[in-house]
Amino acid sequence: MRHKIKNNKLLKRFSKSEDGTSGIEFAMIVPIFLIIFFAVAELIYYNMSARRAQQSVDFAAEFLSRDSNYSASVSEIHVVEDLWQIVNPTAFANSGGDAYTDSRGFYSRAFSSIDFKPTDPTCEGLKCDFEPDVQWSFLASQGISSPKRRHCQQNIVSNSKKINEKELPEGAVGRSAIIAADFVYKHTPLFGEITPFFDIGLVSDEERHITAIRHTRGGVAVQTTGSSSHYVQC
Amino acid sequence: MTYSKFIEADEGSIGITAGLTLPLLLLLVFGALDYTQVTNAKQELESAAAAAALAAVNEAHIAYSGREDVDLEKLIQETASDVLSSRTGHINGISLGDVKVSPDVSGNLMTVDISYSATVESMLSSMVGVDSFPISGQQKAKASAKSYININLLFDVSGSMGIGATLAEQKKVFDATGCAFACHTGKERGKSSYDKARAAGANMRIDVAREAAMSAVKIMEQKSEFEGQVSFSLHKFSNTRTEIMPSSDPKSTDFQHVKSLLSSEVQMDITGTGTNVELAIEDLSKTLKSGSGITADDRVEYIVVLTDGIENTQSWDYGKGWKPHAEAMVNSPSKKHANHEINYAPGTAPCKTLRDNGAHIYFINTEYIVPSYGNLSAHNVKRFGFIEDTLHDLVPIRMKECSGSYDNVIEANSPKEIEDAFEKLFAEFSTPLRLY
Repeated sequence: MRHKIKNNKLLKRFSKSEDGTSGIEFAMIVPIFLIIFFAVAELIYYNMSARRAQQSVDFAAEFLSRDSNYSASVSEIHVVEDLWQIVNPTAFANSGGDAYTDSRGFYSRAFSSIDFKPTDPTCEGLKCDFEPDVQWSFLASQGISSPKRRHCQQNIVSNSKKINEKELPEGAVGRSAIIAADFVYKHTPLFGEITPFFDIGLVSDEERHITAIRHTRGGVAVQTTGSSSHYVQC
Repeated sequence: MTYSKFIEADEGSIGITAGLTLPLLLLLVFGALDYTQVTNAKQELESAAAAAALAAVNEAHIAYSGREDVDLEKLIQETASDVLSSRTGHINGISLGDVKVSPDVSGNLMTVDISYSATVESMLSSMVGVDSFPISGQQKAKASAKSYININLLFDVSGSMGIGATLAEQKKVFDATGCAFACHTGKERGKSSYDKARAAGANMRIDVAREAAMSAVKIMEQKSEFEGQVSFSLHKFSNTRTEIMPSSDPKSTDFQHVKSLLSSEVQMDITGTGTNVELAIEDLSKTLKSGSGITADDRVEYIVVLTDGIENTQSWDYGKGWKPHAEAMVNSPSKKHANHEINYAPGTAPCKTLRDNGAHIYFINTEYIVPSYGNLSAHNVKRFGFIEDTLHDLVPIRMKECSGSYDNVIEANSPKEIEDAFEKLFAEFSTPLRLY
């Protein structure tokens, strides 16, 4: 009974006391600011890795399409693979992996050479209708559950559709051969465990497939000298 | 609570501060996030435009090389639009606005300039009334078809090219000959003041030009894409043009021979000291016709004129002294300093004939230098005054009018600049497909 009276007095005194109000307000507001800070850092981190990945795949397609002897040697393929690290030096951090054991991080890279042949074999020149004729594709991958490589059979789809590994946009179809580069990478959120409620899709660690297509110089299909299990000849 | 108590109270000050700063902070955050969205969109569009520009020029290149009967500019236009659509059609949140594809086909040189504007939907800034952000960009690709080309080198070997190439060289010339400029006349080869200056170790402008051309020929040797692709024809001029080697010469594709001719034949003219750039070009225009570049007998013609561009009627006649040259093509503005000597800027009429015939004209403009050593006579002070005040700025304009573009006129004065100019031009004549 005495305790109860004492506790009531303590509560009353606490509720009337004005000491430390600033501290309480500060403690209530700081989490909001921290959440904003983490969310912004997370999105910027995501954005940076997305930009670098897109640049890597663009450079890869560009590099292979410029080949003046129309032959992608094994060493050239190795150079293109390394473009990912050059453009994306922190890839090991934002796509998983380890700076020492696997500095490339987790990503898959596929390069495909696609020629176009007239649907009517007797047709010549620019006015023909063309269909894709995939020559070969190369794929190497680390830590990616669904790596993508161009299928030997390609469907022509509208330019407004986001393409997958079985599709080519109609605008890329013509008599000039192309190189398609397909990368899949995983983005590991910086504060994923601290701010899981910000996992709204933008910063999720799901695998992202990005593509770049370039026409070859001279319009001739690039052939390859590689013959390992990484290559598929169509 | 009374008003005065409210004013005096300090409870909740952090909450109020936070309440005031939070909207501002959120605004900055929204802005930053949308900014990243916009930069992403810009990157995608730049990449798409680059791919479209390269593909379009590439397609025209193929058609040109295959002698296909197509409108190359239209082909560039269509290919660029197709590829651009294939790269941008699926991107969410971007509305492509004006896309301008400007193709240009000049002989074997193909260029496309793609400029675009677009709007990017805002992600969060729409909360504060900003629904979209405008962006724009441009990509340019250029390629010259793998062609047989002939490079016509025209060297100005008149008196003004006998000035020391640098201030130090001018001093050497002065120490050896007693003058720094234009005294290289009227003696036999080996006895002229030019020869004296050379013997004293001085390098004149003409020497620098010759050396630069020789190293540039070496570069062309490395850049040739196939056997016999590049041939040279060599010319020099003062009052009139002298053909050192025509392109029909079987040795015109032998770079060692070209270098050897440059070394032995491109020397100061010690008899005809005037300058007649226009006549040299007119003379060339009578026979020169640019071809398709598809065969060795049908080469694309490039003309590189190395000169300071100051025309001068004077000529030296043994036994009679100075006289005006009979073929001088005086035009305005001009100034007569003596009976034999009128200075003026070159006319551009013959250039049109050459360009209409498909030739590409370039100038390496070695600006006229007023000597820094030696005493100038009153006559020369007047002459240099007219050149500096009137002709100096007019010469590059005339060169631009002649060649069709300021891009085709390179100012090069120091030995390094002259060498760089030759290298730049020679590299351009064999342009692999790339972005600019």
